[in-house]
Order: sequence, then C-alpha cells, then structure tokens
Amino acid sequence: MASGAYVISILISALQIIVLAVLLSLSIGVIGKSQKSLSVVHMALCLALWLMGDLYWIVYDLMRPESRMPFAANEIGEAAIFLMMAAIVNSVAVYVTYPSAVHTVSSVLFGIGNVVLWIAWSGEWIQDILIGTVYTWLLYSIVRAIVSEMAFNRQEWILLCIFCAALLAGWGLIFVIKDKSVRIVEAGVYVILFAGVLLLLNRLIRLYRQKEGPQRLLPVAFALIAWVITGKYMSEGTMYTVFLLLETMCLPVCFASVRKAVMAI
Amino acid sequence: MIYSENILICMVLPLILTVFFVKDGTRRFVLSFILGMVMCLLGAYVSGFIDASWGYGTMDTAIFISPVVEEAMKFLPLLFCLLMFEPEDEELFHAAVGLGAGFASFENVCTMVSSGTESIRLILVRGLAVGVMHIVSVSALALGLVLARHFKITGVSSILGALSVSMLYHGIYNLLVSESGIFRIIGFALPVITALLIFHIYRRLRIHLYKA
Repeated sequence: MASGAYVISILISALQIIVLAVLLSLSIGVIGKSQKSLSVVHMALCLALWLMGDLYWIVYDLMRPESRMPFAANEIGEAAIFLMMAAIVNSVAVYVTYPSAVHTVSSVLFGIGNVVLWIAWSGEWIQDILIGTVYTWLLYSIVRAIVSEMAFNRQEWILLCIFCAALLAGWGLIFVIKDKSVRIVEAGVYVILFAGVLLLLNRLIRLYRQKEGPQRLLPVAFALIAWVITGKYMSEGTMYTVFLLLETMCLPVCFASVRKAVMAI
Repeated sequence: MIYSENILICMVLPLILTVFFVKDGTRRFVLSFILGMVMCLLGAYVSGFIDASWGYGTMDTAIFISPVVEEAMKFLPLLFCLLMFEPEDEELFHAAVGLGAGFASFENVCTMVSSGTESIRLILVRGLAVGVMHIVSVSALALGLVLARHFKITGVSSILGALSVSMLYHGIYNLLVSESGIFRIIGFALPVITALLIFHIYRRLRIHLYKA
C-alpha cells in the first residue's frame, strides 16, 4: 500500500510535468515570435530536458518503487539542465564588471561544498562530480550576472554569504552528530533555507515593482530556483516534496523573466 | 549468441555496391545508412564492455546504459559530418535520418535473429516503434547541431542539450518497453506520438517564421 507522502510526491511531480509541458509549448511560441533569440532556444531545451527527466523519474518510480536508480540518462539530463540554465543567464547578462575574488571563490566553494555533501550522502562519485561541476558553473554564472547588474545590495550579499556558510556547516554537522540534537540542527538548516527563499523572493518582487530591466530580473529569478534546487537535493521525505512544489512555482517565474528578456530585444 | 559482425557484413555488402550506381543525395543517404548500422554494432561493443567491467547485468545495461551509449554513437558521425563537410541544414537532416534508419534496421535484424520472428504483430510494432524512435532522437541531435552552427556563441551548450534530450528520450522508451503490460504499450506508442508532436511543432514554427 502506497503511503500518503509517496502519493503526494507523485502528484506534485505530475503537476510539475503539466507546468513544464505548458511552459515548453509557450516557449516554442516565443521562439517563433523572437528574432532568432538564443536564450529562448536554450529555455525550450532546458524545459524539454526537465520534462523528460521528470517523466523518466516518475516512470521508474512507478515501475520499480522503493529501489535505488542506477546511473541512467536522467542524471546526464540533470547536468544538461544546469548547463542550459547557465547558458540562458550568460546569454542575457551584459557583463560590465567582473565579480571580485571573494564572489568567485565563495560561489565555487559553495558548489564544491554541496558536491562533497552529495557524495557523502549517496556515495555516487562519478554522477555527483559530473552534475556538481555544472551546478558550480551555474552558481558562478548567476553570481557573475548579479554582480555585474548590481542586483543585490551589500546587506543582501552578506546575508546570503552567512546563509550559505551556515547551510554547509549545518548539513556537515548532520553527518557527524549521532544523538537527538540532529533534529535541532536539521530544523535550523530548513529555517535558513526558507529564509534564503524569502530573501531572494523579496529582492525579485522589489525589482519587478521598480520595473527593472530583464537583465537585472533574470539572474535573481535563476538564483531563486538554484537555491530551491539546492534545498531539494539536500532534503528527503516531506521536505523534498515541499521543495519540489516550490521548484514548480519558480519555473513560471524563470520562464517569464526569459520571455521578458527575449521580447525586449 | 548471435554473430552480429557477420549479419552486418551480409547487410552492408549490397549497400556498398549500391553506392557505385547512385550519386549525390542518394549516395549520401546510402552511406549514412551504412554508417548507422556500423555505429549500432560499435554501440553494442561499448555497452557490452560497460556491462562486463561494471557488472550492471545485461538487462540493466540495456535499459539504463544503452540509451546513453547509442545516442553518443549516433552523435559522433553527425558531428564529424558537420565539421568536415559543412553540409547544408537539409543535408545534415537527411544524413541524420539515414543514420537513424540504418541504426534501427540493424538493431531490429539482430533482435529478430536472437529472439525469433514468429509473431508478425510484435515485429510490426517493434519495427515501427524502434524505427521512429531512432529517427526522432537522431533528428533532435541534428537540430542541436544546426542550432549550434547558427548561434556560434554557446554552441557547446546547444549540442550537449540536444544530445541529452535524445539520451533521455531513448532512455524513457527503453525503460517503458522493458516491462510487459500497459508500460510496454505506452512505450511502443511513444515514438509515434512524439513524431506527430514534432511534426506539429515544426509546422507551427514554420508558420511563425514565415509570418515574421
């Protein structure tokens, strides 16, 4: 008998597939209207990959429930999704300034830290290093675009840095601590994750209200989804489902920002 | 066990002779068809090697590893063709279709030789599904290469994106047809549905571009 949480996670995956199918159809329409825009082609590829990755996962889950998936095409698809997202950010952003060494090193360190934790959790070296390399490239691309567009103020950068450091420390502690205090650390990690979501969402809404251009909106929208994906990869059970739902809600936001950038050309 | 090399020689020899009697587009199509069959055999070698060295098991290799290997094998000659001969977009698509058809034909023949040809219904369904699936996935690869050529700035991303799309698509098909019942029916229907969808999208895009 399937548990309630399992059924809900399947339902949310199905919802994400529907959202992705609608967005893919819309993006194909935008390709037709745009003047050979590369960003929207990458967006369509990204959505197609995401859709097929979800389909692969859901089919596998229904055919072989409760079994761990071996290395398969969907993991290459995940790496390609990150690559496409980075390509979208890089094709829209206009780089006026380069990020400082602190920004570069911090984003790369956060990426590497995550990969180390993924490996510690799953033990799948090859897959995690492959996906992690592209994930780190995506983080760096987003940070570079945000710095260049000056989309964050100083306080927001400091807060984000503290959140990232606290997340890595918290997740690291969860592997070390064996007693009941692990629950407290876990709760703290989720508080930080949701605080990060609120921080990025707040910045995105403010930029939107100020009628900022797509070059400023897009990297923040992609930072939001990258943050949610980071949370999803590090969660399981109910919290995984929550982040899956958040990710589904972020997808139209990302699409809207790409569409705005394409139509502005 | 089947001697797939012997089957390949038997199938390829008449086609090689054909190359001398035809020219231009037909010759290129026959050559890409032959190349598709050769790539299928090489893909089987690579999958077999991965199975033997990682111990995945024959079934799991066919479901999870083969899509990745086979799409990579189809991709390499297309990339070579693009870089060496710089064909027109349409010529590249024709080469891709020939490659996919050759790949699917050789795979079908090997499957028939190894598992029998008693059920005409199964052979018809499998033949059509595998044929369309390989042609659709290799067309996605060709599309990625065409996009990469037109937008040179981030060409690598487009190529890898298209390669991943075809790997995932092939992976879903292999996963679905690996089990009997409703999953297999959906699996066999998937290539035809996708082909119709792509045809619809292609028409829609052409209308948009024509209006623009």
